[in-house]
Amino acid sequence: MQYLWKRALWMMVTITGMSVVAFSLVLFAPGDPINAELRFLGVPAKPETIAALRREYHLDAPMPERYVRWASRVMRFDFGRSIASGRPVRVEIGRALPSTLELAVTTLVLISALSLLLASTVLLSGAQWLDRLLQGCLVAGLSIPLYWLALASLAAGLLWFRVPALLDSESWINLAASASLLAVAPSLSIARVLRERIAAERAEDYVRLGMALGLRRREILLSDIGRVIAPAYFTLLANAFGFLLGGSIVMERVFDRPGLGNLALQAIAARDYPVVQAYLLLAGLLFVVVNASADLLGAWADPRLRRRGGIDG
Amino acid sequence: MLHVATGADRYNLSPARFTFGTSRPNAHIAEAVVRPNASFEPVPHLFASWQHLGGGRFLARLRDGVRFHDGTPMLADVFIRSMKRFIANRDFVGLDSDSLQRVDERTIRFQSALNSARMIDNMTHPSAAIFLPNEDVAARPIGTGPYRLVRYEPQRSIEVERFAEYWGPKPGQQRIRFRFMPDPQARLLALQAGTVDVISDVTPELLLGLAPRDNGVTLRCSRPIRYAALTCNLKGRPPFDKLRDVQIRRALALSIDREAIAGAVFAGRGVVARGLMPGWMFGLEDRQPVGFKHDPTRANEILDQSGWLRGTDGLRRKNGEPLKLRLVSAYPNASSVRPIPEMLAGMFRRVGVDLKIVEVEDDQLYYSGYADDGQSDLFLELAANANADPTFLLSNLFHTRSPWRSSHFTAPGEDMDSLLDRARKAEDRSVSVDLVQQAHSRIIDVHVASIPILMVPVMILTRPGLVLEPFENLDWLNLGEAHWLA
Repeated sequence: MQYLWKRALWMMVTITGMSVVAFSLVLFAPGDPINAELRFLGVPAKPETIAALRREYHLDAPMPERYVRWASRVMRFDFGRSIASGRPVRVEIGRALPSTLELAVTTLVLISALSLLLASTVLLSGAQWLDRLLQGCLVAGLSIPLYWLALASLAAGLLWFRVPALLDSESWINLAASASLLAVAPSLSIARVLRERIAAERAEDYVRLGMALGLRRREILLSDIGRVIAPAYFTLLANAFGFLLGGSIVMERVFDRPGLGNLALQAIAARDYPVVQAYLLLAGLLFVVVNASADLLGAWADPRLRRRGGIDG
Repeated sequence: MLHVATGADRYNLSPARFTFGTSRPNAHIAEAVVRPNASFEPVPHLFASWQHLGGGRFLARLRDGVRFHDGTPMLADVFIRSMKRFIANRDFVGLDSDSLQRVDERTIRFQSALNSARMIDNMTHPSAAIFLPNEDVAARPIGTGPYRLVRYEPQRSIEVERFAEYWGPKPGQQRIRFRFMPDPQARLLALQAGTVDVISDVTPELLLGLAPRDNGVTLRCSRPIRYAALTCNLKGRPPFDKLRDVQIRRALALSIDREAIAGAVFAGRGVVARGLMPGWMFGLEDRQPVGFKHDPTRANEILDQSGWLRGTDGLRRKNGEPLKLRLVSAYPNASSVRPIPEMLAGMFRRVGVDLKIVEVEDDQLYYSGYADDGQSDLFLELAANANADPTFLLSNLFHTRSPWRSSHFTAPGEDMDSLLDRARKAEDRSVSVDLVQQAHSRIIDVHVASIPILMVPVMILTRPGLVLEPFENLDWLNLGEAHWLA
């Protein structure tokens, strides 16, 4: 119980810090949302019109006052109104979030499955060439720019294999393609780390004892080694989630998915502060929650962590 | 159904800046009171006629038989309420809201807040459209246009269908679906795969992804309208003060091989420019600026005579100071003009000028980081006077009291202000155009405040077999007339 309280307190501190960063980061970016909006329309505006719009969005107030006003609204889940679209930010986020979550969760499931499959295949087969292949694929996966990979795959799918559903964001094919491509690099990376951790654990005494007692390799791998490396594995997955939030921006843009990434990119270009601030806060919040969940899962899997962290007490 | 791919959804539904369905793309739900003709002069649309009474006062007659999509007839009372709500707050129109007055059921009277005779010209802007001024306009926008709204999914698509009781010629297409696709390369792939029929806003960077003989798409070009030009910093502070000297500006203008640039960019569709506005616009044809030919010999002579002499490294110096210039590329973004800056650097180098290129992909950074504070010698821009008001472009770029801050560094001064002020106030449009022509020529030929490079058409991409004529202002593109060859 004490462990949970500590985690909750730490999350609160992190989220408060993130809210300050999310609020102030966009203010330091060059440009101004009012000018951006008026320039987009391609029409000049009178200085008094610009001043009135700045007042309307409280852009003329001192920064601390703006932060307090914003934070107090955010606590009531009111993120203000988008300057570029005129719609409430909550509505904008609410419309885009499901698409991004769908992509992120699907990708995370794929990463979990692929990384475990790859690591265990390499280890159980014991083949050196498979290990080298994994290493080679990892280098390739990390060095190919995601945007290029996505665009080339889309071109091949649309023009060679004639699959128009690749551009239909409501089709499972669109989801499967974008999630698979997004899963490639983190799956390989996690598989490589897992393989090394498992290889190291296999040299431990408890594994040798288990083998001497006649337990099968597969049994030892799943029950004993699995339990020990589970916390690290969950942490790796949680870190990959951070990558997914960034990578989903690319996938949403190329595969035409109306998600948070597309919304954020457009808001950044328009200096739409309320939307960018809400996006940054939400992305940070998701990351914190996923990391905390990974820690809890790790503690649940490994009794030693529970005792150390006091989760039982 | 016609499927059109367009950029990101930028409609604004806030009451003060309502642009739903009017611009990029114009879904033809609502209409402006006038529209531009082929010479970009305003012609009747929802206004059947109008009369300038002098001093910026207008009398306009509404078109007979026009109905909103819910059946409400377009009469003076509802029209005035719509103008007050959707047009009076547009600064660029400059309408005095309090002056709107009903004369009879189909006649209204109104006044320009700036006493400008050019106010009607600015009403061709599609965002000055007439919607039914109902309370739930953001949820249920109702206009008088040839299409009525069927479905709008923000950031995804907007679908419209033909309005059976439209007052004008019925469009050929029964339904149009606009799909918002922010990535230009994804738009191109969608067209090549046949998922969409038209890409209505072809960015120059999109052309780079197009094979010279791509049988899957057809490139259609309007007449040239956009200018690619260097705007000079005439009033910069050190180290951006070298172009205060008109002779250096002139030498730079003469050192540019425009033919070579035209062959290298915009799929070869650009043409050598003499000015910032095309000859076909406003009847400027035979009254264009003289412009500059490619004459590096003369450019070298001018620089020699100005005391900028070549050093052993081939670069020019004066009193020990090298002739180094900064070029910020570009508005709207660096990708749209590549590789013009690199080509210019080579051409300037040949006359002994060292050019440092700063590439900017973000238009906000372009203005707030560089243009608004004069933080460069030269600014490369790809823009257009896509407006029926002949004074619009020059007044915004080269008038010392322009609302655009960057003009503090690009406006030549009193003579230009005077010409443009007179052009804006001229009662007669031909007098206004004449004054604009004089200003245009002085900006290029006398002040060299801007160095024109190319004129570039508006481009659209279609599937082969689809006939659609592009218009120079994309918001007035007549998508309803698109049809397939038999």
